Amino acid sequence: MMHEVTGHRRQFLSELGAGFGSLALAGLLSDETVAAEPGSTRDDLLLPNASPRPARAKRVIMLFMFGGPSHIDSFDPKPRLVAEHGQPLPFAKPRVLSFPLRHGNLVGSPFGFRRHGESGAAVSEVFPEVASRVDDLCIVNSMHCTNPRHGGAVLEWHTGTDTFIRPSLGSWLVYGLGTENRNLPGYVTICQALSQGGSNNFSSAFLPAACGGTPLGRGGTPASRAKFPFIKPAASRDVQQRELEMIRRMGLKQLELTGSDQALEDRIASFELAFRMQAAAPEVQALETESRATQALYGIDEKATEDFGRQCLLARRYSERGVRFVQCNSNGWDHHSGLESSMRQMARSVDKPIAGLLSDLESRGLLDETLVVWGGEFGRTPTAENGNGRDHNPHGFTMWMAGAGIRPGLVYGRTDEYGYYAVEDKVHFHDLHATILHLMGIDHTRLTFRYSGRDFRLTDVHGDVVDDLVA
Amino acid sequence: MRIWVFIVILACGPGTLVAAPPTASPRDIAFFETRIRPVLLRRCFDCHGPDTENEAGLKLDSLAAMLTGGRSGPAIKPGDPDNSLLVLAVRHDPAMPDMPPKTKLPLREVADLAEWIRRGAHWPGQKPTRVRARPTADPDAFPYNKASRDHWAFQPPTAAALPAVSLRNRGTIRSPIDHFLLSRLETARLEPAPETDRRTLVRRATLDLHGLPPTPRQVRRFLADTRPGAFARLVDRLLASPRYGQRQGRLWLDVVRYADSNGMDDNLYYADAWRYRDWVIERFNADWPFDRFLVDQIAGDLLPGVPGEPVSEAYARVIATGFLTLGPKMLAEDDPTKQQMDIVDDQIDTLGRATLGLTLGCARCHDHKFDPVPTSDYYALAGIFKSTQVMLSFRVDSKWNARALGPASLEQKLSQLEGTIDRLDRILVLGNRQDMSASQRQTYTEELEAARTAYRAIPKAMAVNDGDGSDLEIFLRGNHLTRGPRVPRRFPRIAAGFDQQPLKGPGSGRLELARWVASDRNPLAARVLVNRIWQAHFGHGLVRSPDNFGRLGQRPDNQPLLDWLAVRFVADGFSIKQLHRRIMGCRAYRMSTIAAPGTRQRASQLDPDNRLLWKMNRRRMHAEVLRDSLLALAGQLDETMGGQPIDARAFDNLSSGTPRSKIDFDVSRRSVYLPVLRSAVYEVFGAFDFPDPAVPSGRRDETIVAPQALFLMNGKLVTESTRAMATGLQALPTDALRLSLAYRQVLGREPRDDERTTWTEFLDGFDDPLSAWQSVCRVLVSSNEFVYIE
Repeated sequence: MMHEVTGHRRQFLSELGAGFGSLALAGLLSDETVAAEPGSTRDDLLLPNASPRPARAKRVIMLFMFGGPSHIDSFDPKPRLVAEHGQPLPFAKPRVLSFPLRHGNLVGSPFGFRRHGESGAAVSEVFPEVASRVDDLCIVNSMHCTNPRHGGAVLEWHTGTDTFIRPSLGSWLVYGLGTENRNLPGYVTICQALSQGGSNNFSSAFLPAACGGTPLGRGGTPASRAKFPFIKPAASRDVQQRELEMIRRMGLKQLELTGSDQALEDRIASFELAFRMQAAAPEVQALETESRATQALYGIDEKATEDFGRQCLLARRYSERGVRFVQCNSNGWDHHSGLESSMRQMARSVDKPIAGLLSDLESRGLLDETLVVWGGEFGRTPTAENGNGRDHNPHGFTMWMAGAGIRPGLVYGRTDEYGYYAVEDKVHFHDLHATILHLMGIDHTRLTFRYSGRDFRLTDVHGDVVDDLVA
Repeated sequence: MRIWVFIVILACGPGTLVAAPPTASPRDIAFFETRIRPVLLRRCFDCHGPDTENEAGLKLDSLAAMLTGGRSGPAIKPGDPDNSLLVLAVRHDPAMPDMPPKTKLPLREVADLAEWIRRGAHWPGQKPTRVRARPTADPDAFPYNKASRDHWAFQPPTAAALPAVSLRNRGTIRSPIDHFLLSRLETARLEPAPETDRRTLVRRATLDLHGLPPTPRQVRRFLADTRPGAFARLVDRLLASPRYGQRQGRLWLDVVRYADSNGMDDNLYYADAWRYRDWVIERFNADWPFDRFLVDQIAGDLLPGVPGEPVSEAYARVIATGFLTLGPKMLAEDDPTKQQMDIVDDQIDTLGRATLGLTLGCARCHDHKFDPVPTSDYYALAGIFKSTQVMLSFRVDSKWNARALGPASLEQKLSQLEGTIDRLDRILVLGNRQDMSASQRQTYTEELEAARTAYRAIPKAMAVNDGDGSDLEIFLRGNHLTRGPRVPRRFPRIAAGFDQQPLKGPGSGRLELARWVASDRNPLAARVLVNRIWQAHFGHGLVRSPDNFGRLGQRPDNQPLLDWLAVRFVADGFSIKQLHRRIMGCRAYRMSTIAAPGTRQRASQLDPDNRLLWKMNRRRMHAEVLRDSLLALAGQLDETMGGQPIDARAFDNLSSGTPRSKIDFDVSRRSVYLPVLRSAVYEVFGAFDFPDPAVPSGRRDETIVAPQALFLMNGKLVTESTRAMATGLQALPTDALRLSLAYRQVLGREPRDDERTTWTEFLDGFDDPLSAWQSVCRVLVSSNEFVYIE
């Protein structure tokens, strides 16, 4: 059904501002304002009760490992690959390859794996801290997508397609659920790279602009300096307040002449929202107000982990203030050569911050309502590239989830004995998207937006909820 | 081997005779019985067995069934496992649905199926079989009903007689356009809004045509001209200024998804795209006839020269074809056919939306669900574009085509350099790093750098070359691995007719296409353009979906008017400037945004969207208009025209390395000359609904979001320009004079008395006059009155 953005719905979206919903949409729709709302009825928006289960998760924190971390060196051990190290791959390579001329022979993981926790899930030695929380994780070893290139695969993960510009997962969630904090955007992405699709990865595309991701810094910005655009006040608070009062008075005076006009009224209100956001953001950003112990938990006191630690702590702070979707970005997982040292280094930079985030969320009682998702745009080949690296592999890799609504301690799906192809209980990006929406209380087949003459969804015509992953 | 090739070809055609494999050896029989039949039985027959029905219409219970195949075509090609759909499906190749779904067969079974097909797909006991292939899409079929064929937009426009207008309103009429509008309003018993005051009118007209507010001097000049025809003279003055092309040209750049980088994956610099941008601006200023404007863009490279014309005209025609090539491209794409067809799709989609108002792109994968455009028409056009060279190669490191703007010797030098760059880059990108010594690598790198520097020095355009014309097969469901019948190159039949001669010439057929698109035989192009210009003046087109005139687009609010304008436009020799004069000359353009007294309530109930135009629509400034206006108010706008937007080389990656630091938005040039980076649009523009340059966009959104307010409160551009304005005001002796000038500059009017009082109180709160006046200016440029065009 078509979602014409009219009447109260439009007003709501404009109040959403940069995603500043005065009310979560679900909340808005469940109160009496619905009855008065013309043009949009409860049926045509997605609703918690449109789903077979109530929402398990209220918010998402996505930990995006840009570049494609190797699954066979992290969560998917392959003894046979180690045993046949140096042998040729015993079966057909994919029809489409990233670097066909550089494909070498099989190369086993240089890292040791051990089973951890009660679940006994195997984790590589490079993730000792995450391994200590393995019973919180729901590990999916049978992920797959189609595009063997960063640009295409990153877009596939974020938006469900590598062919068109489409709204991202976070935008769909904000569109569907609104936000819980009117002073902050509904979707924030911290230090996301502007390469490989850039802002298309967090754009609202045809959804209302307020659903788009607000970037906090960008790839290459230190997390300590990541800020929203235009957030730094250009004048004192007092002066700004007086200016806003004049803007309001001029606006109201004009309205007396023109008669009521929704756009003009919304625009006056948007200055007030901006002013509140300007005041709210520095408070969220003030990591120094956290205790030393908390900062240390995230590794902010160590050089190697400081940057991603800050991102994770920011994520918790935005998330607990009601931001629907927060993404942390670790850039540098594209290990075409020198896998052993690069992988150690990258894993070290995120390992403690991630474990810190999980335990901090838990101790604050937030893990039950926050869904944490970890992964990159694809995995890597079991065959060598440049002697000691691995090429891109969209045919089989690992992602994991933790927190609200998932089955903790589960290891799901399987790749073949070398880790090249997912072979059992395969989970496509579309399936994981459907599952994430499901955990948020949304039926992915019903969250639609009419654009250019047809109804669009995040999962297009694909995607199945993976029930086994859901508690 | 020859015999197998023969069979493979036959297996693709309808009703073909398929020879059985010559002889099946006992080994082949054993292989089938032990390794193949059990796999088919166990893994496939649940859905593709003898007694099952499935969506794909595929059975795998006999050789004949496999060769017949399902909806995607034959399931196997004996001897060629890598191109057999069955093998691709069980390998879980992305081009086919995964089979079995969700779970992959053991590697051994996948390998066995491939091996069986490689050996010739022997199926014991099955003899040569007549195979009736499933009926595939008939290229001549046209599966649409009368209603969709009779859709208004496919009928040629006709100029109706002017509708009658009552005596009461007749005196207010300024042009024939008013007849069309007033008669409708009279039928609805609605009163049009009165004409607005002249100050508002000069601001409206100047912002419309220049994208800048009028200076106090321009306002004075217009107000002082009290002779009849003053407004027409104002419009002529505005149209004669080069600022006109910068504004209206920019709106055309929206429509053709102009950008200076490829976007999609890595963001490589389209270092020569700017020539197309400058060409557009220059042609708008020159009032180049719109039909020529279109032909140049689609096929300028194929047009013969005019005797005696300057050589720059020949270059201009080549530059114009940038229209076809500056779209978004996934350059790092591993599948060359997909890469090429994605580029063709971008061209068809852009051509369709920009010039025909049709979403032709929908027909890439299936017959258009709503408009009468079958896939056969899509692939008829695709044949034309696939026969046009846009790229030098289709690879992960592919480069786009360029054409030298100079003598043949320069063209030759360019293609040599292209060859060198392509070769060396491939060696360096794809070469096995282990096999290359450091010194070798350095030598290659130095050679490549030298070639790229020489390449940069050549004046050239991003443009196309014509290729050898050849027809294309229909790609079933858009998938190039599943081909349907071949279709002749021709134009969309619903608009160009059913009795077309297929294009048979040696070239692509682009020139023929261009001439049809731009002719009055095409019912769409003139209407689509007239509607865009109407929208630029009224905020909404007469058709409110400017890029979609199809059945899912909106119906025209006033089709007789649209058609009348289109017919006049053609009669005026496709003059766009004349069209502006015509539209701006009517009474409706001069209406106030405030409804006539007493009609507001009734009108907003009867026609809340103002489709009958009972008042003028209020519009928000576009991103560039806001930025340019701020610079102009600060006296800092640099009006230099044209040129390259980033000092970097073609193929430089703009999202990493040094080129990134050369991208500078803190300049004072007009916004149309700032770089347009796909997937990294300038943040100020992004906040104010600049269109996504990945897709054609005929209409800007007008969202209201907090980052816009934050920009006006804190943005560097606002801080600096209001500082400059405040500094300028200090030259005046009194606050009263300062306030007058500030109002005249920003809002084009004098402050009212009550406003003066309020501002006096406001100024009292400040110690430092400069800061105080900066605050005043910031409030004024933040006000609704400034940002909205009345």
